[in-house]
Amino acid sequence: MLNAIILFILSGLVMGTPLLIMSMGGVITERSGTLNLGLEGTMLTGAFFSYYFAITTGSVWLGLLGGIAGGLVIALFHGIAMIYWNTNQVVTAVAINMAALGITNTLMGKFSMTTSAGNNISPGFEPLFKINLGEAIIGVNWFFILALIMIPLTWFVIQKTTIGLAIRAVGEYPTAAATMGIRVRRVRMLCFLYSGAIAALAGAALTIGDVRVFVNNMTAGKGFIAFACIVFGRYTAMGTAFGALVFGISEAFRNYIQIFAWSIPGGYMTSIMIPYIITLLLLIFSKQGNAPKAWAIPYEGDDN
Amino acid sequence: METVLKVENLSKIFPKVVANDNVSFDLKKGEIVAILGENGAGKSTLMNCLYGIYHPTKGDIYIKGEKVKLTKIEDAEALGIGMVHQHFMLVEDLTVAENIILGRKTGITPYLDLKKVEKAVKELSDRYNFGLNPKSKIKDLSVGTRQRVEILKMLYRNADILILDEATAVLTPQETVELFKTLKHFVDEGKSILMITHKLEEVMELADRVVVLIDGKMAGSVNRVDTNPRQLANMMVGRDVLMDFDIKPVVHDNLILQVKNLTVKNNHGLEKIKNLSFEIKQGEILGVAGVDGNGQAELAEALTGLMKIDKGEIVIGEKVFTHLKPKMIYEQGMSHIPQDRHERGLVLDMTVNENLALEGISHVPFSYNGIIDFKYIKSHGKAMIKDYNIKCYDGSCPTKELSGGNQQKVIVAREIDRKPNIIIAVQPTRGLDIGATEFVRNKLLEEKERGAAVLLISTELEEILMVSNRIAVIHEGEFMGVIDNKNVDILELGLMMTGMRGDKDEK
Ligand SMILES: Nc1ncnc2c1ncn2[C@@H]1O[C@H](COP(=O)(O)OP(=O)(O)OP(=O)(O)O)[C@@H](O)[C@H]1O
Ligand SMILES: [Mg+2]
Repeated sequence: MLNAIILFILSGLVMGTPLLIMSMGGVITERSGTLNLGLEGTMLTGAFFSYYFAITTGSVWLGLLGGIAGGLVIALFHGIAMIYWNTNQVVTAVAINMAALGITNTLMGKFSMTTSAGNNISPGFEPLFKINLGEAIIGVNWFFILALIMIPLTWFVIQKTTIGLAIRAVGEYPTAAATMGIRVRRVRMLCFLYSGAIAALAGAALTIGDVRVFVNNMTAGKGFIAFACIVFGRYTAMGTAFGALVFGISEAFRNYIQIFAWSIPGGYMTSIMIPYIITLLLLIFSKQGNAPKAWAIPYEGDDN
Repeated sequence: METVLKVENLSKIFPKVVANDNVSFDLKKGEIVAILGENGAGKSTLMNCLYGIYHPTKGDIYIKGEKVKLTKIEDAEALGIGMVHQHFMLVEDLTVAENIILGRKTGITPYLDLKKVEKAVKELSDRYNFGLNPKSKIKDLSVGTRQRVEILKMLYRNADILILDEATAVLTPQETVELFKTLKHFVDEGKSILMITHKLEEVMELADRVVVLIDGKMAGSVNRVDTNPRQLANMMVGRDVLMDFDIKPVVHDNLILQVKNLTVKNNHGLEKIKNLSFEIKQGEILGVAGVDGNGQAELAEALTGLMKIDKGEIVIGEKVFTHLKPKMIYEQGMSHIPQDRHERGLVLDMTVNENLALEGISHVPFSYNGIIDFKYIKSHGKAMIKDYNIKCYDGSCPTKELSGGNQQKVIVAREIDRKPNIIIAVQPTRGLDIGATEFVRNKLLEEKERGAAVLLISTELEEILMVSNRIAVIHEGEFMGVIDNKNVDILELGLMMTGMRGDKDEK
């Protein structure tokens, strides 16, 4: 029994690695008062470009850099529009996500025509070690380690540094922060770029860190789930991590159902939906709130 | 004496407004200069130029003899300028220490050494007898304490030119006395102070010199010893302001508002209003005096449906309510001038016209069957702006571009204009210039004579004495007594405010 629980938690963590990484980046943006619904598109972009550059350069590390660069470009456009031009934050994110989906689809289409079948597997990060749990063997790569480090690190940055203090202030009452000499838009933009880079890195964890291929729309809503985790986690690093872990575990649970062909009502369709249903239930029944007061409200002040 | 600050021919022009027009004045070491002017005269704009928030369109600023260009707040801070803004600039969810260190580092690394800050803040607070706990969250602090945090923010940054933009507007008289002691102490230490206020007696008590602005222009600069409140008012408004009101006796017998055994608890479950009962007749003003934080806010919020009623009932006319919602309030003909104009009263991003129409928007004549009559909203706005002397280029001006006092006028205009049966007015003249203050007090009296029942909650005893028929003193959620304004004894009122029960209680 104990073994089974450890198995679930561990495989949940591993399954949830990209989500964990991304939501740790996202929570920083949300705390600075910007609504980031563009994580999905940024992650997808990161997934594609890391895959693409890993194949074309033959190096996973260059692939990773390429992926992050791709994510940064997307985040740059998205952030400038929202933070400097005060566009509607929901509409802008929808546009960004659609663009990312379209661009990666098209580029992938072109790219697969130039490569022969069999050559479309990219280099990838090897597992650092494997955990043998009897029924299954779980490979652990450094993305997983990174995810684990990011949880306390994010908490530390938000709560224990002057940078975190500025981020919190800008999210709560930007005008007051501005009177203390803080450049509101600059802080928000840097947070946004950071979470963009991190989302792209999480995307790389899906491709070069895991399956080594790119599939259209392979992020499958993870960006939105990350957002849900942040809301569920009441905009704290720890709460968000907990949300991501629950999602990861329910994904692991789904895989077990599929692998071991456990019979459940509704069969395959239900099993696919399990993680999403659990997330939804969590969101519905959890105590929500605690959003930064200036959350999703564009800053109208003068600074630059 | 050394001149620490000098302004020469400063102008600040916003796209549609000339806020400052060729202003020149100076401030010497150890001196207090008061800036006077009507709402919208350009006082805050001028101060914001000195603090690097706005950039003057024209003119020069000299600090300690050097010509300077203040492009950002840090420039001003580095030169020793500190500012307390007209509205609190404190992040409510953060602690005192966090608010003070915001924007600064505590060492070479980004690590936030809160212990160190807390210690320094405590020392500074003790030095000036501020009695602050660096660990308290701002949201748990009273208004007076928050003001002390604002001042400490300046001191922590070693400011020696202090700008106070209506720092006393939100303070109780007791808190003002404390603040003035501190300010005098600062001056003795060699700091210099620029202060904006609408209260002439404060100017007479504290200032060495007075600079008067009219419509952005310098109207003059006088030494305190050469002037008097009457002359200052005249310089500012161009006429005598008398503040002499005639309180007509109550002629009706019917009760418009009855509060029976009202109990209200706050978020923490503390009873802020304890079993309170009172009534207001048609054509009567009941003034509620008391030290801030004794349940005034909760009383007003419970009566206007913004806070849940725990026990008791509220009778409006004949109708009995045990719970109220803001929408019902409007339907019952109740008006509310809230304590915090930004949090409750206005949508700052909307235009003046829209804010003036805000509450009536789903009713005739603002809209018919759900279709908004924009033409009416525009003409209504125009009339209100004229009647209430709201200073803006026109009704399409975003409310956030209005000066603080003019924002307050928008609320007062909207709430009084609809001919309400009941008016709940909390600090209705806060931030208004003396002319506007007189106007609003007159309006309240007019409304009462028309037949409205008015509950006037104010920490300014003077205001209450000027217009109320009866005066209640609130202390820790209870009335210490209700006295007829004809036989008040100020001393007794003062004692009641500290929690002594009055013997002249009518019931
Ligand atoms: N950011 C802004 N944009 C445009 N106009 C502005 C802005 N800030 C102030 N104004 C206008 O400049 C004029 C002066 O405003 P200011 O706030 O300096 O007045 P004030 O003297 O401080 O008045 P109060 O006593 O009401 O606080 C007003 O007409 C105001 O509407
Ligand atoms: Mg002002």
